[in-house]
Amino acid sequence: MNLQHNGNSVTTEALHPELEATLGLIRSKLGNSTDLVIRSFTVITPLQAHPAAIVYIDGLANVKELLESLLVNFSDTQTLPQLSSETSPLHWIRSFMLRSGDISSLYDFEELCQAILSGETIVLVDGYAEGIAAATNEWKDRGVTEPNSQSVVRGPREGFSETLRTNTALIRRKIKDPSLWLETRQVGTVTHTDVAIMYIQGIADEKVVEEVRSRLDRIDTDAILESGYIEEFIQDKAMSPFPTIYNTERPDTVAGGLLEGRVAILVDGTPFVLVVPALFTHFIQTAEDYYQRADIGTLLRLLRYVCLFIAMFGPGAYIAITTFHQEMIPTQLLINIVAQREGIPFPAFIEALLMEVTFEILREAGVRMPRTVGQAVSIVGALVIGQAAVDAGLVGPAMVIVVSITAISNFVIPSYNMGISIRMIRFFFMMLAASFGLFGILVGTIILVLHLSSLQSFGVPYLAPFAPFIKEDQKDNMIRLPQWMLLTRPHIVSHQDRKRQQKQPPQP
Amino acid sequence: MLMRKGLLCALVLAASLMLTGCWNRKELNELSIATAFGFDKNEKQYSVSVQLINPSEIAAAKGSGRSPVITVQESRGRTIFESIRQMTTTTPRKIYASHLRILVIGEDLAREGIAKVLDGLSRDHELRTDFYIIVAKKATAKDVLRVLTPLAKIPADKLFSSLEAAERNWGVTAKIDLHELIYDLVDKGKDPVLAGIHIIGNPEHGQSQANVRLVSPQTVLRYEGLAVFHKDRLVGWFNGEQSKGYNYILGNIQSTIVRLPCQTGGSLNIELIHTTHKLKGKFVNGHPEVQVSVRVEGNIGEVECGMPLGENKAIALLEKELRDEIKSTIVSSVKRAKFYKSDVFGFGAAIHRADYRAWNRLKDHWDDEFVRMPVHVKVYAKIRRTGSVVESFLERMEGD
Repeated sequence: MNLQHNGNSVTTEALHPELEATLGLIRSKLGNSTDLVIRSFTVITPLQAHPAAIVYIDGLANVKELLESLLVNFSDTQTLPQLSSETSPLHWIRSFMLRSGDISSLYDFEELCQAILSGETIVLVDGYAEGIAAATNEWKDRGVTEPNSQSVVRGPREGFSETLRTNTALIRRKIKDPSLWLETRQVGTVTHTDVAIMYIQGIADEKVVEEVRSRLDRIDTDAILESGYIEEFIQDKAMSPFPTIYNTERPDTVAGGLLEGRVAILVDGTPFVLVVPALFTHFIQTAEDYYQRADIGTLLRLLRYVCLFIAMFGPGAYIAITTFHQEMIPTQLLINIVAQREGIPFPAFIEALLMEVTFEILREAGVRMPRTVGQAVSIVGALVIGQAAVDAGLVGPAMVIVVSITAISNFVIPSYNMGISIRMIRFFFMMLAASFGLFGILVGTIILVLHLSSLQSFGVPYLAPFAPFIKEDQKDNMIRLPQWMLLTRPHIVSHQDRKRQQKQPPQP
Repeated sequence: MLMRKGLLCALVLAASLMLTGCWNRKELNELSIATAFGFDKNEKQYSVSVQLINPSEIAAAKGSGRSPVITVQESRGRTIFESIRQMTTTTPRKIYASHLRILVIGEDLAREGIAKVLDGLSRDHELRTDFYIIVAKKATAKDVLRVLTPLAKIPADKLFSSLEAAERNWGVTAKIDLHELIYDLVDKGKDPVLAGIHIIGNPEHGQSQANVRLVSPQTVLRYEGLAVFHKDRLVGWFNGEQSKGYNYILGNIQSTIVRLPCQTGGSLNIELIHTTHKLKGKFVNGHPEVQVSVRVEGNIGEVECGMPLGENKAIALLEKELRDEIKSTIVSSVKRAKFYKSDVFGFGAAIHRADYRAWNRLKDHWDDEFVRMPVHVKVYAKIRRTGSVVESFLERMEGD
């Protein structure tokens, strides 16, 4: 096990040869925790018997097989290997008794504790300052279930779970290539969370991989409970509403990213895997774009861009046009809107703010509420942002439509965190619209674009391939060309091994 | 770094504050939407009438039907702009004129000259200039605005869309917007015309809700001919036929009906489907002349008499009749315009295009020159189809 030595845990202490002393030390170190199991037994080698013990945490390790192999009855065994008197019982255990796959030797007390806490079983023999750690990690896992946050109509239904090993296996199952490399380190001085970096050697940009390594190594914190912790520590720019690191629950999305030369960061304990570098356009794309035919994929992507604009500018544009630019509305529509607004006490901005905030409340309630009462939210919600609000004279029906279409459009954005960013920016645009009209929206848009183009994700411009404009990468940006025309990997992400395939138009 | 950027953003925003052009926020329920203006003049004062809509009555499926959908407010003043602003003393809200559909000019004001009242309209940034300008025939603009119309809830809307429909399908009116009118006014080689609107029935009755409750309203608004201007003064009217002639020359006819007499009595209608026109000025022996050529295509629309329409001979005869009919229409129109000394066809502009040096010599006494000038009219007519039947069933009836 590759240990991450963070500042305060360097007091390395060699193991004591005496078994009882070591066991006592372990007990006191773990504070006599009740899930710590110490099982003493005797190792019987053909030459002599040694007192020994196995140590593990109940619930993290499955020791059934291990115990069977250690407590073997030798009288049955006919063919015993020849032993010299110098053969240590540890060697005997390693060579002939343990049937586990992953075995390592430990000489350090601190390492030993780590190994126990990550689910390994330690075999200690009296008289030897060495422990054998067998990988017996096995605990209750949620299992591979359908991802909740990113569902598809067509495409694999498996999602990551909370166990790192399961997650790496899910990716390995998609990319069976020796150049898919995996590095693990532990982050968090208290949690010692396993964090794995996965990339395809030869495709991923070496500089990006190195950057990921160094940024992970820089993290100095006591706890990593979710990949969100890592994201905040390693993102490029702290003061931005936009996410510069992509996260997903879907192994196929991660595999796709790896094949484009991106790097995946997996964190033990969460199904959300980070993928870097992340560009703005990635947040508008979904895995399904590649599973449906190219024309469908293209159309859906364009639709999502339309929704992005509605979600961002919808209420802002409505406020601007109805309070500053009435001449732009067709006369009949203007008359209808005016008639609706008769008797509404608030300015359009307050009206919009009221509805938007109400909607945000409803949405948050919907997410946090226990599922069994979820229905209550939708009933109340329909009343609050619906006919009842109109009848009460609080808002006009046109505003209800604007708020509803904005809300629905926001749900179309496939990435949840990008959706939240757009939600925040929408309020910014509403304020600009209320004070400066369309002019304000225009100025706001300029500021937004300036900000977006100043962002980078692990050295890659965030707006690529729009700005800088990369002609070759437009094949898989707002539109998606058919698979047989996607000849190269995105240029901006990685410069190595660009070629994916020969051009091979389908033939009848 | 971050500080500097934030400061920069704030600076950009602050600078943008100074740049704002249309810095007048107004909520929708603080506006009175004006759909029509009417300008009149009596003695020294202008009188401005504004047709304002009553939104709660007009909106789809909301009106109570008890109060009228529009209200017409009037105010007087020495200038138009003054009068409009003065109106806020009688209306609860500011008048919002961006959605103006129609501007009606009273006949009295039109005879005195309309140029002065147009400047304010062309100057105001709030106005879209896509409204049409019409002249109230033998009436005040105020009376025209006060007539409630059936079908179209907003009378100004009726005036707007019926003007467009009449021009497209009948060709006896002209839709002139502010830009065209001003363009005609400044062009020495063309005098303006405006569509005329006539109130049929009692104007007082027209403004009551009862008018639109009747199946056939007693008071209605009807487009009648064209108001002919000389410079900016109204000098007379074209009747329907002469208006059509005007539109032939200007190429404004999209579709219309031409009635031809049958030899056996009754008449025969040709529906024109396509017309092209050409207006060419030239000098013959130092004297200006214009050549008007009109090319029309038509279908036979209605036949009241027995005629062997299946024969080429008959069609050729009809084409000749059609040619003569259109020509006489055009000639009567030119004749009328010469009577008014008003070059509404833009013959002067055609002469200007042909020879600008000679035009410079002529332009100061163009009125007299226009009256003397020969106008050659050439019409090419073609009949394409006879509709879904060839010969009329009347032929067979007569045969028995």
